[in-house]
Amino acid sequence: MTRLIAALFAFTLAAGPIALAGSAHAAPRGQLVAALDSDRESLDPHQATGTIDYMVLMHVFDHLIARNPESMKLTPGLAESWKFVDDNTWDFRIRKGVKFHNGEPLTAETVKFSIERVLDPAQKSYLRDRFKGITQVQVTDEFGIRLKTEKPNPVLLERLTNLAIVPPKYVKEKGDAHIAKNPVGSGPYRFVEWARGQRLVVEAHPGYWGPEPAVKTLVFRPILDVGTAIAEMLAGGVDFIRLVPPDQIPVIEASGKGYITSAPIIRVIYLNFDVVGSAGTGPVQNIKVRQAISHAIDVDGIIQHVLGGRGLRLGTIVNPMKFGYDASIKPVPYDPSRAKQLLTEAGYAGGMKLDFTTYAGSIIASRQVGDALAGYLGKVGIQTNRQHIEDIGLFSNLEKTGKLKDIYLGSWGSWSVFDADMILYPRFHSSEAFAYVRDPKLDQWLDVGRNTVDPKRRMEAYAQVQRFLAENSLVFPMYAQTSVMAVSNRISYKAASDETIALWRATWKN
Amino acid sequence: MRGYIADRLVDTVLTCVAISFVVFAFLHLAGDPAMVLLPPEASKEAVAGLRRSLGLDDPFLVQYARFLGHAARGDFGDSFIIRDKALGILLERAPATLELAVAGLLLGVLIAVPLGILAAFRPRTWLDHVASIASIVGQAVPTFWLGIMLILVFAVSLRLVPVSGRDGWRSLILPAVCLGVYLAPIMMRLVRSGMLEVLGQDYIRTARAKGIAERVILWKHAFKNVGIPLVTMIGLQFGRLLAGTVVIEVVFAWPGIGWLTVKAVRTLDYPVVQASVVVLGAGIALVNLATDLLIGYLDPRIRYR
Repeated sequence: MTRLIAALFAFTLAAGPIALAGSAHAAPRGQLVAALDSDRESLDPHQATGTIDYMVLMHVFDHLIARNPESMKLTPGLAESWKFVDDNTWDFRIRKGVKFHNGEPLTAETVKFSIERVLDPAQKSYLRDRFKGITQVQVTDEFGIRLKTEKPNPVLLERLTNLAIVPPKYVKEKGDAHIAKNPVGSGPYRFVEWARGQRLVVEAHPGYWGPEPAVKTLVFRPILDVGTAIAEMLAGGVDFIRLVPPDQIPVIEASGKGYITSAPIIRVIYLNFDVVGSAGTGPVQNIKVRQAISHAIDVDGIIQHVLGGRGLRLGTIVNPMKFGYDASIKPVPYDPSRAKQLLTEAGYAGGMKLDFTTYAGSIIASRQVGDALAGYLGKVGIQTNRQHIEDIGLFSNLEKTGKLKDIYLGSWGSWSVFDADMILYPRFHSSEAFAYVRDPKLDQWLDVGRNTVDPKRRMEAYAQVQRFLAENSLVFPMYAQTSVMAVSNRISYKAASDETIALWRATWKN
Repeated sequence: MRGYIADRLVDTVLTCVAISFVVFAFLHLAGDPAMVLLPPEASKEAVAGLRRSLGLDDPFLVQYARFLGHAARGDFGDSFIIRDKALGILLERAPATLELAVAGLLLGVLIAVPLGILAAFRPRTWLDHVASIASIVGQAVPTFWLGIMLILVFAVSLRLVPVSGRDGWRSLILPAVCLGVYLAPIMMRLVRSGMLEVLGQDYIRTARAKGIAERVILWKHAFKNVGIPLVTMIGLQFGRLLAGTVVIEVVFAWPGIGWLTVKAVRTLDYPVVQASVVVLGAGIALVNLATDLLIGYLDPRIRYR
């Protein structure tokens, strides 16, 4: 205890003068350590496939379009402004005077190089599929660029928030393998060191074109076990934890070392029905059974008791923050007696047994949520043959090949694209691998939504899709997830709804 | 002795080839990496193209032959995920795992041998009971839980060592203790029972009758004979030890081969999984080879069959 008091005393002495200096002006200072739940893969922003890689690399690289952390609206990034020339043509004005961390200037040619690098099949970039609607990248003048698309592409701007701009000269001279370990971007932080499996260090870049960050050095450490990450925070070794399970929130709050910040995110959690029988015939191909299941589950109860109140009840699978959300669709009310009645009407008065799959990862407290669902279903006479898959890769394989029978607990994160297309199309268009529902009407509306520019017509199409899904109980939307981050008391940081971490927005408390 | 060494060497090589085949076959049953690698909305052509470029369309035996040919030259291909040489990624992390394994094994032996000898020297006394209770507890406690407890007590409350990471010798202490506690119980019981058996034999009684000091009897006459089963046991423990390091590496965020392999399995990163299982398998086979040779040296009867 004396040691602790002595340490605190020493800290107060040391922190005093700095606090005064800090309030006067904000030159970047100090070091912040962030714990991440996985190791980095590649530091080439066009190659790394993990969501967390993207989040980390956002500190080093800029994108044409950025997003306001409060409103989630698109804002200028490296593109100062953009204009819609005709249905298939976009013009962008590139910010002048921007330089990469190695001094290389950033111009329209740079942007062209970056887009074409992603589109180049030889690069095998995971981003290629999202941008291959672009047929032509034209440099109009030193800071002007024009993109032509095959069909009208209303989601293009949203997607450009994912395309990092890289320095052409550096990439060509050093090669792809080099940039994967020594990234050079134009973002708020420049790369310093990467010891795989141990730490990634970046430092505030003095010549950054945007606002200067408050924290000078950021250290990203992979700590796979959240218990260890929390112990680190209690010992003062970590300032930031990205995902905190609900049962650990009180530990952080009681520790006096950190606090919780949370925000609703666009990831939605739902119960999926094998409507077309991809994995074999079963009772859920009967609409009454699907309706019964939707009435049998108390989603509000799950949010309250399993998630500690952190979650937003949904009536449609489109997140309210997205373009295309139809607010007129209300959640199916919890009504177990109605559920039983529907089951009787469907000829299952004596009960039934369903295969029910859940998986670990992405869904907070997925096992407990799955237990609760099985419990509610049991109450109305639906027995579940439960399978919990620990491995997200295996789950995803089974999901994509249509092998998940009857019902499963699914989630969709949308890759931070705030548009209904990014969930409705891949899940309900018959050409897609994920489709457990197939209907020509859905295909038609989804194609209109994807390839029309007029927002009113798109909105109408998506409203039709959502109504159709609700009327036929083709999926049971449950809730939108809330991200829960832990932040040490040394810094101020607020979680954002796009599920990213943006530590250039973190500030020192003293 | 030369014939004995040659036999063991051939066994070792055959073991490694067998391991490589089993790993290769199992991974191909596990799933399609092209599905995992591409984003969810990837088109069917993209999946087909990626499968082609990864060589996943060829017949199984062709793929295995290609893999074996490359592996013999130390080339396991590029990691699908990290896009760097699989063997390089692995070897980069090998020192961390090796360091942990050696430290943990040493600690395990340091705990097990004195305790085992003491327990055998004073059987059915309080000391023996304490030692056997300790060994049962040590074996029953999950490594995962022990790791977190050690962290909470020694790193969070007492601030004696870092919580996690690999940063100097102080950060090695907790993971090594954790591994030592995991390995010690079996070795301790082996030493105890071995010593009990030896101490009851005639030549020990003779030595005592001659008035030789107890310490000399214990170490020189008795313990030396427990050495052979102990060395065998340590050799066999090596496999268990690597399994133990996986958990410990995760709990202590120790950047070793263990968690790399676990992640590679989850993401179906064939080259890394293959490289790591073959390297670890070869490591275990080599340790067993060394054990065999050491035993052959310790006990001349074994090498003449």
